[in-house]
Amino acid sequence: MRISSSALRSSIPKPFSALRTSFRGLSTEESTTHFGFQTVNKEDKEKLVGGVFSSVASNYDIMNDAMSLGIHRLWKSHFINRLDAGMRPGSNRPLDFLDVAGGTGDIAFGLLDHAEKKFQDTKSTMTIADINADMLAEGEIRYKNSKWNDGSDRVNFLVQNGETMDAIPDNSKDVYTIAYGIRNFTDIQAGLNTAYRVLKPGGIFACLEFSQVDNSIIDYAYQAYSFSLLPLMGQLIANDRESYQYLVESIRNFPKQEEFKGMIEKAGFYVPEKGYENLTFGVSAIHIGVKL
Amino acid sequence: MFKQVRAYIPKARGVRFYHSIDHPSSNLIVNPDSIESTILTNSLKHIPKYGFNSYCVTKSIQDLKYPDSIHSVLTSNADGKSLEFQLMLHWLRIQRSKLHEHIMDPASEFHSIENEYERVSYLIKQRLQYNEPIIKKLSYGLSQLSTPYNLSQSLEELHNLSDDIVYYAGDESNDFAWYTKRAGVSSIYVASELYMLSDTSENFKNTKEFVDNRVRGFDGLGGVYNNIEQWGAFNAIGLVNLVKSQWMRG
Repeated sequence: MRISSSALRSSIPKPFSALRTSFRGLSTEESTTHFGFQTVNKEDKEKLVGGVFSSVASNYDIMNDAMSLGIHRLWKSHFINRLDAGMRPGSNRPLDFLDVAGGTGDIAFGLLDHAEKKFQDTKSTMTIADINADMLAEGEIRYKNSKWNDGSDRVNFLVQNGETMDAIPDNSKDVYTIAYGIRNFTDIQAGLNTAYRVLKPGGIFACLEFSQVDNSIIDYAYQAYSFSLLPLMGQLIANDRESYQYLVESIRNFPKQEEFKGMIEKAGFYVPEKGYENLTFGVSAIHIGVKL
Repeated sequence: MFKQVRAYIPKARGVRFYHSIDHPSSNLIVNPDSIESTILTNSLKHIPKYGFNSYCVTKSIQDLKYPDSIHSVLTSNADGKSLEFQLMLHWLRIQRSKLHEHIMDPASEFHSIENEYERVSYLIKQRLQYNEPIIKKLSYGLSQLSTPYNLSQSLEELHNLSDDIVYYAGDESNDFAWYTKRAGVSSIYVASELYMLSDTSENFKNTKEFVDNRVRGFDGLGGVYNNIEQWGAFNAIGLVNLVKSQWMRG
């Protein structure tokens, strides 16, 4: 059971639907990609996603709390606990973390916190990269008021495109995390290939992302909730229906667990055992890859 | 013509989902090539010193000169198994494959035993012998196995062990005895292992005696079961005949 696509199309707001029609003539696989349920030019997706996140940056977390009923915090902390990353006592080399699309910094600070509390690791470094300067600015404001701003320069902020990462050298990072970011990439495979490039051998790629619910009854309820209530909440709380409509559609368009696992393997990673863990029936999933 | 027929069969039957050649490792107890088992197998040598503790894994990763980030391969497994539990399971699997190798070795004493139950008894004792180097640390490992949320995987591993033992002892049953034997061997194994934890006798002599007694008792139980079954069947037939004869008289 799906919500009919025509109903969805009609709910696409004016500026976006205008954009869709203007690109209707372009149907070659090479030059177009998804933007929610619309097909847009590849060069434009970056701009459009940028627009979405610039407009939601300031109340991003309030919206996340409202939309996921606070569950996104549980998922993120579960993700951090599962990774269990940090320099172990008795090790001689601190780890270099890279949190991509980490704008607001909750994963980045969570990882550092975990490493310090569990392994007394106060040396590992963190690079927070995001393509969107507005989101990154949110993170920097938080950083300034956090205990990490102690002059040790362990935390860095970088405006970077996750698909290319020009400023990050090959084989330079130990842990690459990306939480709820990779589905916004224009070319997901390019993003994964770049992750493989920047990681050191033995480095871990870990991705927390919305995924597909297997159970069809639960999926029906979930789809009904996300397509009818989420854009409405976006409108009421953030006065921005379009951005949240995009979020919902981009979740639906993101590859299924097995398919995404295949893409991670294609990038060159070794995927252990099952390769992913479903959270809350598969609404979110954690994917892991190792560069050997 | 034969070729044509063969080529036709898969089409007629549709897609076959399981091809055993696609699963070459399904008989492997431990896949030695994966990074997880490389780390875990190397961790086992630290158990006598540190016990079933996640520190063994950290130590092993440092031995192998892997970066600390590689811990995440084990900690973020999809089933949510703790490092300690993974270490315990891996240890069990390695011991099981060791037992398998022992059975496959043509020179082993095992092949000179004829009786099925004596073979079972021999294999249980052999397997228990592998506990000796880490016997002081074993109780913590066993507590990992009996934790409720680990229980299903622990029982699966226990079943695999008793299945191996019963199968290699020469069990050919294909009726309800198949289950009874495996369940029986599992319970004997667990009881003997717990007995072994507090056994202070030299060379675990008492444990070996305990195993022999239990297996003999189980064998005897099988006899009792067969006798009761025979007695029951005899009486059932007798009852049918009695009813029939009364019926005829009207």
